[in-house]
Amino acid sequence: MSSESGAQELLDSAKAAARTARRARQAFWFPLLAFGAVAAGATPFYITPAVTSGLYVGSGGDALYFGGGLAPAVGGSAGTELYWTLALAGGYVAVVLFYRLHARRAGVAGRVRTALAVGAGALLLLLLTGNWVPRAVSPDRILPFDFFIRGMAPLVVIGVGVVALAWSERSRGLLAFGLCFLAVAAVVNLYDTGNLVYRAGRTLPYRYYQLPNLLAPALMLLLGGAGFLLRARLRRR
Amino acid sequence: MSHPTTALSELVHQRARLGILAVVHEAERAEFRFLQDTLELTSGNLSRHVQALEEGGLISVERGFQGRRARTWVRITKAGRRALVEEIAQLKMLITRVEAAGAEGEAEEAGGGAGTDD
Repeated sequence: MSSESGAQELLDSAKAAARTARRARQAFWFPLLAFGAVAAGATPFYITPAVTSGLYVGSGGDALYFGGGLAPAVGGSAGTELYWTLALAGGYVAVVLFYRLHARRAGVAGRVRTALAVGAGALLLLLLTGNWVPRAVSPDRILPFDFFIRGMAPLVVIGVGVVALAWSERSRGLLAFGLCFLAVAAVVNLYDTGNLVYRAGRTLPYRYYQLPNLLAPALMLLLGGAGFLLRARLRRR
Repeated sequence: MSHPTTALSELVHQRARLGILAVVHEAERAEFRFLQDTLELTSGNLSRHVQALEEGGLISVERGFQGRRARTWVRITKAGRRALVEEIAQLKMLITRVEAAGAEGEAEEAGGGAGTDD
C-alpha cells in the first residue's frame, strides 16, 4: 500500500466517523417544532378585541399599546409580552433538556450552548432596546419605529437562534432554512401580510387581521421541524 | 521543507485514534459504546486507544452512571483539537505531494524519456 493510498484511507475513515457522529448528534428538528409551537401558542394574543374597530389611532379611537416588539400595538397587552418572554425562556430550557435526553439515547452529544446563548442574548437585547430603555427614556411610551409596532420581533429572536444553531450543528440545510425564516420574520415585522389575503380577493375578518403575520412563520417552523425529523429518521434506516 | 511524514504524530497516526478524535471533535462528547460501534472496535481495543489518547492529554474521560448502567463519556481537549487539525493537514499535504510527484513522472514519460538513466 502506497503512502498516498494509506493517507487517503485514513482521511476517508476519519471523515466517515465524523459524518456518523454528526448525523447521530443532530436533533435540531426539536427546537424548530418547539419554537413553532411557541409561536402558534401566541395566537390568542393576536386576535384583535372586538371593541377595536380600526388599525391605526384615529380610525377607531382606540389607544395603541406599546409592547416594545413583544406585543402588537392594536390589542396588545402586558400578557402578550409576558407570554413571549416566558415561552421563549421555557423553549430554551426545553431544548437543553431535550438535547441531554437525545445525547443519552444516541450516545453522542451535540453542542447547543452557543446557540442558546445567542438566542437568549437576542431576547435580552430585544427586551432592553424595545422595551426597558424606551420606557425609561420616554414615559409617554411613544412607538420608536415600525419594527416594534406589530409585536412580531420574537420571531426574529427565534430566527437568530435557528441560524446560530445551524452554525453549532454545522448544517447547511438548517442554515438555509434559518436564513429563509429570518427573511420571513423581517417581512412580517414590517408588513401586514393580511393585505395579501384582501389582494387575493378573499376577505379576512378584522379580528384575525394580524394572524397571517404570526401563523405563517409558525407554520414554517412546524413544517421545517417535521421535515428535518423525517429526514433524520430516513437516514437512520 | 521537511517531508510531511516526519510531522505525523505517532500518537494520532492510527485509524482508530484518528477516528476517536474525529468523532469527539464533531460532538460535545461521545459515549464509549458509540465510539465502539462507529469505529467497529472491540471494547478492549478501544480502551487501549482511549487510554493512550487520555495519557497524551488529547481527550478527557468522564465515568458515571445512568441509573444502574455505567457510562463512559469521552471529550476532546484543546491539545486534541490541535493534534487532529495538524494530522489532517499533514495527511492532505502528503497526498498532494505524492500526487504532484506522480504527475511529474507521467509528464516526463510523455515527453519521450528526456531524462537519463544512471
